[in-house]
Amino acid sequence: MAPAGPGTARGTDGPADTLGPAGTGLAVGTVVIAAGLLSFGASRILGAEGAATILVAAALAGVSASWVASHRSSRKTASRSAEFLRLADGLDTGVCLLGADERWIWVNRKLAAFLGVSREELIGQSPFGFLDDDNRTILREAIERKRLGDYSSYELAVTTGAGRRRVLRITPVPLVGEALGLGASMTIVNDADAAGDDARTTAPEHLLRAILDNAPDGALIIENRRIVLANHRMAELGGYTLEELAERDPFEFIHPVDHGLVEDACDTRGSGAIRRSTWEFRAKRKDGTTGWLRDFVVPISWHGREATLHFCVDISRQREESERRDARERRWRALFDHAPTMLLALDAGGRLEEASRRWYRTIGRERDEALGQPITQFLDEASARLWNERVLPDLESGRSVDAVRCRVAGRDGAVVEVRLSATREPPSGGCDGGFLVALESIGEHERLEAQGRHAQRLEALGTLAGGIAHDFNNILFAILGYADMALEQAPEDGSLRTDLEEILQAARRARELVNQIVTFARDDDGEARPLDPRPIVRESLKLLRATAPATIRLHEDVDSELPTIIAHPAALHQVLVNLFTNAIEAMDEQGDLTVTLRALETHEGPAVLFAIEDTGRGIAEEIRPRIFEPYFTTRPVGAGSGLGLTVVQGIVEELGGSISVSSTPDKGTRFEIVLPAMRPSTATPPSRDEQAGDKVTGRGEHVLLVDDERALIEMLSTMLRSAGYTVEAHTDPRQALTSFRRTPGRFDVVITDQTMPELTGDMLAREILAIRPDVPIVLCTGFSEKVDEERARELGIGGFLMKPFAMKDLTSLIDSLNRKHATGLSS
Amino acid sequence: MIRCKLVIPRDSINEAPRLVKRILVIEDDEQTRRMLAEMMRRAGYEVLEAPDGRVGVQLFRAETVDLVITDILMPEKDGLETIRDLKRESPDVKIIAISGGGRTGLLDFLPVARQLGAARTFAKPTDRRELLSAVAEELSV
Repeated sequence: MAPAGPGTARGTDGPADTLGPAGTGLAVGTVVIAAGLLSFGASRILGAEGAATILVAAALAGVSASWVASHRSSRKTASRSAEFLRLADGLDTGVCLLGADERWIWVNRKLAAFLGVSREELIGQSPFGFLDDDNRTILREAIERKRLGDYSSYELAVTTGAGRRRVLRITPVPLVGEALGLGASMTIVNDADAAGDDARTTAPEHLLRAILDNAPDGALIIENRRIVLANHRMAELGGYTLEELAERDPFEFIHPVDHGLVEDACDTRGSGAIRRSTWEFRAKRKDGTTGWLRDFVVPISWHGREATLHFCVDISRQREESERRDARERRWRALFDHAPTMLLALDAGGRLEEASRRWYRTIGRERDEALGQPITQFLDEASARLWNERVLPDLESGRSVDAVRCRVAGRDGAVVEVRLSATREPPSGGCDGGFLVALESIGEHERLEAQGRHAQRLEALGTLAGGIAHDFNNILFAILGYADMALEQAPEDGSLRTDLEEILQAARRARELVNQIVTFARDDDGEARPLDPRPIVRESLKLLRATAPATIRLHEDVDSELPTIIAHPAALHQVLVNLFTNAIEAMDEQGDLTVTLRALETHEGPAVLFAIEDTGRGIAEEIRPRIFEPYFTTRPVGAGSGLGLTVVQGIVEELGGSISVSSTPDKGTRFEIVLPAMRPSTATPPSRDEQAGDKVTGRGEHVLLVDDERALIEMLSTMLRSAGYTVEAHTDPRQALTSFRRTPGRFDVVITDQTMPELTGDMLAREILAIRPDVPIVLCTGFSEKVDEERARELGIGGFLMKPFAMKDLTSLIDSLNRKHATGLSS
Repeated sequence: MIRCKLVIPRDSINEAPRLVKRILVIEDDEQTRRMLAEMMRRAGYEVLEAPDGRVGVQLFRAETVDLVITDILMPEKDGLETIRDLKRESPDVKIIAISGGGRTGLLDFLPVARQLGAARTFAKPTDRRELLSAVAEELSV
């Protein structure tokens, strides 16, 4: 016979089952009883025996109530519960606890005697078994009424075990236990024939007083707005003495705001039933402070008159705590709703459970119609796919998703660009868990602002890199120079020569690196290229409009057809800004500045004329020949470098153009620059993106960056991050490959150097493409490396960059690859 | 091994035709300056050294100099000013400007140096052979 494993259930005849529901472990049993005790205090009193029963139980109720709250496994309570059972057993009134399944959990001896069946047989049985059809209906209706809060008494005719028919008066007890989810209800059963008015008047007052005095909760009896009985605990709650409470109007101790509530609660006139069995109010303490009390009210008969018995618990702490909790909750809710970011809580199936107001505004739907819908329903097709294929797998494997770019289908068919960040909420307690999602809209304004910040950071980095490079170049110059001189003196053979060659080699490498960093940081390649001059003129004017005094009028006169010129956008920009600055300065806050752009035919071919004309004070004839001289300035010392026009002339001449000036004192000055147009044969008009020279900004795309040159990789990752990308950088290509293999879906683009020990860039690319053929890859190579653009294309590598390259080259390449990739996804 | 021939009176030099050409090296980075001077000496030139443009111009006035090699970014008086002043004083002076790049990384001074009259410009670190051949070419003109 196979031995039963540790997890095997015990046989149905095992001790656990024979104990029955009332005995299934002390914990469950005592909880049920405790609930019963608690509510017992709120039961109705029918007769002298009943009153005694209830008060005994009520005395225990407080203990049990606090026990339910804080000492679930307290031994003391267990013994008190046992004591209650013993007491209840000794009563001359039937008492029972009915489970949620409508079977008896416990009955006392008296009830068992009423029914003529042993207690052991009754436990686990249904009371319906003792009733005929009519009485079953009565009980069924009574249970239904009780569910709706109606605890009025009723009578039932039962057929006892001996076949006798008896009429019992049943009083259901409003059970706090039910509210606590404990599923038991208590019923007091009296022999209807034995209950009489005479019994009601014989309530033994000294017994009541003794019991109340031992109750752990405050207790008092009020009759006709007069406190006729109070226990010590009640007095203690408010810091009073018993004498101070006796015979007083209870309303003196109640906060005026709650008077109406109390009147309502104590009103037993007419029906003899209370409207509320449990309620909360503010009571005045003797020291003038206010505290919260919870009151269980029971209508009783006091010396033959209607009265109410109250059990009071101090709930100030809980009230304060719950008020604090409510306030906290309100605060979080306000934060949640007013956040500029859309915040979403999704269930485990990705359906909307909760969202901040901004979300509903963005999608243009009401909360009710959006809740329960899957998030993908609110995304455009490509983004929904992104969610299912990339975001969800990441979240489900426990990784957070940071700033992934998505599109939300907004109101009236509008599409809202957002950055999506999300994290998984693991299951806890009764919750299945789900996902927490934040969506940040990338409005035009934000995008521009980010670009501005990006440009500033780049400039700062460029300055830093330039400074370092300057010092570094000096050092390298010394190393290279000395090593080279030493090499010349070194004997033809021998290790000195090879050592020096190594030094030279290393220094040249360092020179390359510095060169790369400087070029990279410069934010452009420093080379002239074909461009349309108009956007640059317009941009410079825009800048001028923002900085020039409002009293200066700016005019723009630009030919609609202009040939393409060859220029370096930043340099051209610099030329215009320098000339504008001079013009503004010459006008003393009054005047007109006119910029003219004309297509021109010179004897050398087509050209573009830039004319900048002001109505300022002009340039005196005697100094006119000197204005292009370096350090020549008419401004006071410290107000200008005197290099402005020198730089302008330098740039214009580098571009193969010419500059001239004409001026009339007190009338104004006109500078004319002529730049040659590109020969039509080679003209390929640049795309709008290129000519605007705008800085392509990342949108949180994940970049896997691989280069064995640590200095370069640090520089690159800093700049990529500042440009809005999320970067994972590796100096070891094998580690990069491992990382990619682990989560191929995470990366939007891979940037790798070609020359690396262990694994070259093309080999790495091949491995990566074998895992995920659609991932965009950028391969960076030095000048004389074996992989060229054509070879890269053969390998399936979409992007190719020759070192040194500028940051802008890299970001615009990433952008175009991603755009291509996105098109591929959505097509 | 720094030899600054400040003590030799101007006249004595003018009287005897000099066979050895003299180069003035203006460079604020001491190690670079020493290296440049040493490179030129080994190539057979006489060398004067100055740590900035101000001293350089003073030396130039006091001495006979056939060629000036100057850095651009320097304290006191930078290379561009130095080139301008030297060219003003003696328009025929041959100047080679060497720069480690602008500190801002954005502005390149070498085109300005050429505009001011520098015969040749080089970026640091400069290849020795290229520099020496430029020096030789300028001196032979």
